[in-house]
Amino acid sequence: MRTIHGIGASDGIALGPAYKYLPEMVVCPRREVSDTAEEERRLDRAVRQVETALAVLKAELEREVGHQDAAIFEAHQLFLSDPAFIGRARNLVLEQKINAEAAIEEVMAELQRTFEAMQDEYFRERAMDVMDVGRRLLRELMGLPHPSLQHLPRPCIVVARELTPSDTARMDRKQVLGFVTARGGKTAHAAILARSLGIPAVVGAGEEALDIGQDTPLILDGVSGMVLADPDPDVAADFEERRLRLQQERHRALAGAHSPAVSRDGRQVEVVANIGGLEEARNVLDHGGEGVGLLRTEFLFLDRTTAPSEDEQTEAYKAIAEVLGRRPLIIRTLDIGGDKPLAYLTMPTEDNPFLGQRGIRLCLAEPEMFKVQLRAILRAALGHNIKVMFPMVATAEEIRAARRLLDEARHELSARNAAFGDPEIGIMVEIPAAALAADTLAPLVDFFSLGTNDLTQYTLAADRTNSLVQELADALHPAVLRLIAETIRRGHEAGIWVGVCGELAGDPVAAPILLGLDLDEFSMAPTSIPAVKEVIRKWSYDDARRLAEEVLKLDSAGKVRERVAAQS
Amino acid sequence: MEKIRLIVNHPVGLHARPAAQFVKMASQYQSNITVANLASGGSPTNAKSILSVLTLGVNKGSAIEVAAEGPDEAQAIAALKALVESNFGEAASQA
Repeated sequence: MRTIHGIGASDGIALGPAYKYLPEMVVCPRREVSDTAEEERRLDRAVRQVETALAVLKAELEREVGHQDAAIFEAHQLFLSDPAFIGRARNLVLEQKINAEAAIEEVMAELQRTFEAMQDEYFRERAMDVMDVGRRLLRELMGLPHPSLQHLPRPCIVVARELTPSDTARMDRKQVLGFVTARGGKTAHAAILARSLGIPAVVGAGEEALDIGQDTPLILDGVSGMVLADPDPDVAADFEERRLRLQQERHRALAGAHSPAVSRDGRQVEVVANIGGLEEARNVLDHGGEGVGLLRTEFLFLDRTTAPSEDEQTEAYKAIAEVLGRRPLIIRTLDIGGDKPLAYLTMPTEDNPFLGQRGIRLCLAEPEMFKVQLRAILRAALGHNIKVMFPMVATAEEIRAARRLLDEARHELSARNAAFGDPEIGIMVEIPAAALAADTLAPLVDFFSLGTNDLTQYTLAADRTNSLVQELADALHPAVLRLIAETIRRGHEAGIWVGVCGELAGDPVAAPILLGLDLDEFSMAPTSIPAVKEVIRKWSYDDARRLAEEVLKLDSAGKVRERVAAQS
Repeated sequence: MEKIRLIVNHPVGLHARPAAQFVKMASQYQSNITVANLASGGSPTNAKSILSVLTLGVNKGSAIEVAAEGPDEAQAIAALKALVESNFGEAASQA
């Protein structure tokens, strides 16, 4: 039995055989060839095969998402006729008399060095594109199938270095019991998806996770972040029992998920969901969500070569609102920065993008693009319970500037006789400055929503995507809880409601504390809703208030957990 | 040899789709064609190589110099000029 420690990214326990998924690894032997002409022909054949495969992929994508997005594959196709890529590989074959695979590998390594030296996220992503095409060629030359998680032979636990959005999007959800990744943190794309699908996951387990052999029996504990390889039979039996108990608890919670979250002494809170698109919106109601407290709109903007139009955005927001009926839908305006560049926006390279021009700062710097989104939200708000929320607000002036642009957007719609609604306006409180000066911001808005992920990383100065300081970035630290308490109190004094839409809202340990701090709205991953509602029903507001008062005075997140556990 | 200086006004610069279009257009001609990023003072690079063009790092508003040498050099320059000046076939930039 071997134990590997990672970060628990999605609750639950899984037992099953390992399925190693290492698409980045293609091992190919280097050998000398005497017939370089034959080697050239092999290279040409492989290039033609991959060209065809890419054309098919592009056509599929065009049918699914339209011409503009499929254009991303144009660059992939051009790599195949690029003298700096294929031409260079051909020369290597002729000059060094080596096999085509070795030549391609050498060019890939050279290009990777060039792109990585450019120190720009955009180029690092292009390096990934080149590597992707290169690996396709290598697999073609070696007669290997193109790997994907789409069809898995049996129920298994996926073990990977990291999982890309396309890996997880196409993952065979019936067969994946859980997954372990060597890299990544709790907020990596794959971790978020695992939580929304309710699949246990451990991330950031380190390179030793990759030593796990194919089909090795594994136990994965998504709470503690522990992975056991080749477990002893009695340990396995123990975990199987816990797994079944958790499953029963989950079923029971799900059964009660559709009733409201009311504390023992009759105080009701709103429990809503965080989503990133239409598909997840359908998930909200299944799990007893009473609306959407955070719609991330980035899905409309990323991975494309031009900005989404006003009509396209209006339709997307309306479609989600329709699923929710009369329930509230809070649309957060575009929240990106230098770490996620958009192809159609020039963003200067920043040394520290998390302290750079992101969220509302970027939107205020790009008012025309911002107003397209605002007009779309205003139009979709007609006849729907839609609210608008600005991210990364630090100062009152930013709120005033955003409101001015919202007014301009209204005038522009009126000028062309377009109908629109009147959404409530709120801000994310995720910068300590906003929390500390919440009393000066509250008169300018209708609601606050605490973004505890960013609030935590800015308060503790700990990058939440860096696994080395992940433990420090704990939202249950009393310093963060005090900022939350202050924001709620100041909000209520000004007569506005306050929610939490960070990961903290979905944490059953935090639920009684937030209840005791008088939080109005809890917004979380849809799958967390049943458990949080259950916790709230177990507590009285009075007990929760005393608990909250006590934990604010503790000096560590660990002690906060212990204190809550003592009363649960 | 034919040479021309052009300003790239497309919001993404000479990246993504515009870069792909530029390389495709250049590849249709027999002449040797190079492109240099005047903003960074870099040396000319092969205009028929998408990788070389991408690594130039031409951003919105940057000036480039395109040079062609060969039997169809005049046509090549005219075609690339039209492509860049038409903003790569898109309406004036509306980010």
